[in-house]
Amino acid sequence: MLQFKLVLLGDSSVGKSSIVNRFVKDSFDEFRESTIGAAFLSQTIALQGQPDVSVKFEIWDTAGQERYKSLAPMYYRNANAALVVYDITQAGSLEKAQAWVTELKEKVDDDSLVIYLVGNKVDLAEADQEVCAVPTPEAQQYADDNGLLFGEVSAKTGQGVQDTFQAIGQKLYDLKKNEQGALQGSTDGHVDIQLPRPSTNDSTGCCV
Amino acid sequence: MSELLRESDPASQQVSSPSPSPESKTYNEQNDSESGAAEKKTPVKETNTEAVQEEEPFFDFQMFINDLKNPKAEPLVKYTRSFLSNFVTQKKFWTAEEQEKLVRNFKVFIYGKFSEFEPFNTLDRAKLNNAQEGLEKLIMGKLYPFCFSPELASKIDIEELDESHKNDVLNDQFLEDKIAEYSFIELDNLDVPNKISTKLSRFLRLAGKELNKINHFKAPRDKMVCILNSCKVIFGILRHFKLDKDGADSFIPLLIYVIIHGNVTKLVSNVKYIERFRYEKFLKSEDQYYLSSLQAATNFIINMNRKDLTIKDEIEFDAQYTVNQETQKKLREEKELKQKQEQEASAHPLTESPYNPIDDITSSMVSMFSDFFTNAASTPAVAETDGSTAVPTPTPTSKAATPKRRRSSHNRAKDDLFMQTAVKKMEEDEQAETVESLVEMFPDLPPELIEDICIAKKYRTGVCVDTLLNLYE
Repeated sequence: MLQFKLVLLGDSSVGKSSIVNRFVKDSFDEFRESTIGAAFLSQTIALQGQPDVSVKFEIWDTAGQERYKSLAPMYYRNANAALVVYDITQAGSLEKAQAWVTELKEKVDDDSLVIYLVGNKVDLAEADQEVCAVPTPEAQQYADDNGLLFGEVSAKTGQGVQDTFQAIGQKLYDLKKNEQGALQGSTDGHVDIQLPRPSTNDSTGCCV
Repeated sequence: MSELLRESDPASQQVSSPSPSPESKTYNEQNDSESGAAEKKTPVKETNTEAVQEEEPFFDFQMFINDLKNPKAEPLVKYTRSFLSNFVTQKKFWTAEEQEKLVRNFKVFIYGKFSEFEPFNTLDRAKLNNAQEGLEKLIMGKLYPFCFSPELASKIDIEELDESHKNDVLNDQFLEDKIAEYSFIELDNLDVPNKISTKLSRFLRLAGKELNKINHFKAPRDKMVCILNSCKVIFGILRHFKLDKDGADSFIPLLIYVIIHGNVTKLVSNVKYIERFRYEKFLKSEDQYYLSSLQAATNFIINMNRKDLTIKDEIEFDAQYTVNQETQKKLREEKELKQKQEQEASAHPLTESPYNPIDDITSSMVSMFSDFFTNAASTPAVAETDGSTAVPTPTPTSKAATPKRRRSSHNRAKDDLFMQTAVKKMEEDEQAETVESLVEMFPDLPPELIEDICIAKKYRTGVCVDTLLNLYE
């Protein structure tokens, strides 16, 4: 099983916690472990089309209020992925998300950090085009220019939420695969998904 | 012999024996496989059927000690004794970074050796895990006076300490000063959605109480459990007030509030100590999250100023601030007076050093183990011949045995009986308080049910809150 740390960033009103709650709730499966805590959640999913690959997300929520912004580095250090959330119905919300992306790119040394930009509350915009304050192409363009994954979701209806985590999981898996392929110099496409572990026989060694 | 060692010898033999659990409930349950456990967090929802399972976590220090007493495990005892002895004799004191490295390397070394000696090489994974936990608790219980910054600062002049240990102690003080300065602030100053009623103080007191227990324990694991328990209670509060959907937006301010109003001391040192001495493998996922959050919250408080607070009424805030300054000044004066009196009193030869009662009591409960280690220490040391450099040659530490021998067995039995009674009383009071708080926290659930759950879960707050939360849904 692959285990990844995902940090959740975004302003307090964009519904970042709701997206994760939706993700954990919808993928609740009696065969897979999940943890629901105040601000820490974990969920294991199987990758689409690769049912034998399990990806466990450890999701670190951050406080979105402006005054707690300075605490974020404590949370995103050693993260494998960041989900940066904005609200498509709030003008100016994308700029705040962009500030997070800039900070991540500056402060996180790891080039393999996967950043996913996600616009929430797509259900509201679908009900009434008028409320959409951040046009999709604008956000898409920004994501493309900066090498981010991008999507729009609704935490309320669940639309796009699973796809978001599938895409992050797939990307992290591919990165890991390449990394290990490079290490092993293997060309046969075989991937050993056992991660390097501490010297003890721990089953859930973390890849960070 | 160094001054440091002379001062700490009796302590390392008597007082710093590891306490069995953060909740010190093990006395009558030593054969229960779940006893000795300050329960590791149990996820709210967890079901496993996959091959990669995490066994139901348990911790039983006694089980580890019994295994260690097996004659076949004697080399492990010698390695450990040798490590401990060298740690305290080779140098007056190590820097925090050196300590961290020494302890980590020793753990890697000794955990590897587990596979060479009975009975450890026959343990299943859960029990091996328990043994690793047990060993960490054992060595850190012994090394606590050297590794926990406030303990170190009580023996060595702060200016002589290395940078890291010194900073821990200074930051503890900065934090405490800041907490005193802003002890009057309320949740709305911290941007918590103002849905929370006045009943809250009761719940938050419970969370603060759990966090406060961090200073009652020496093992990094036990300290970590106190943090987890406190966070579980906060989560319970959030859920009760339907704020849990706001995740960290609510959790972080509440944690800050609990620290400010819980009057928890030495928090920075505790966090650093856990970070340094909790084995990497054990410090992950949820534990790491809550430890980082605590660190984030303490940083926030240390740097906190008016501009970091939401203040609706500036005039009223100023008035409260002024009143609080007066109150704090009085408190400081009272404290100084008390300290002065204590200092005078401690000049009296019979006065015991002010150690935490829970630790004292639990220490005496494992005196059997101290004897075991003391006796072992007085046997001639055997030089290791396998060429391993990780563990230096054992040094005889028979001097350490002296304080124990002064006490007759009769006196010890009497002490033990007294301790047993005291422990029982303390436990009962604490249990009643836990039930009371939980009843208030979950008003929709019948009190009898809550009490039954407390009994079933051995009054472990974190687990009780978890179970009740599941019923609450």
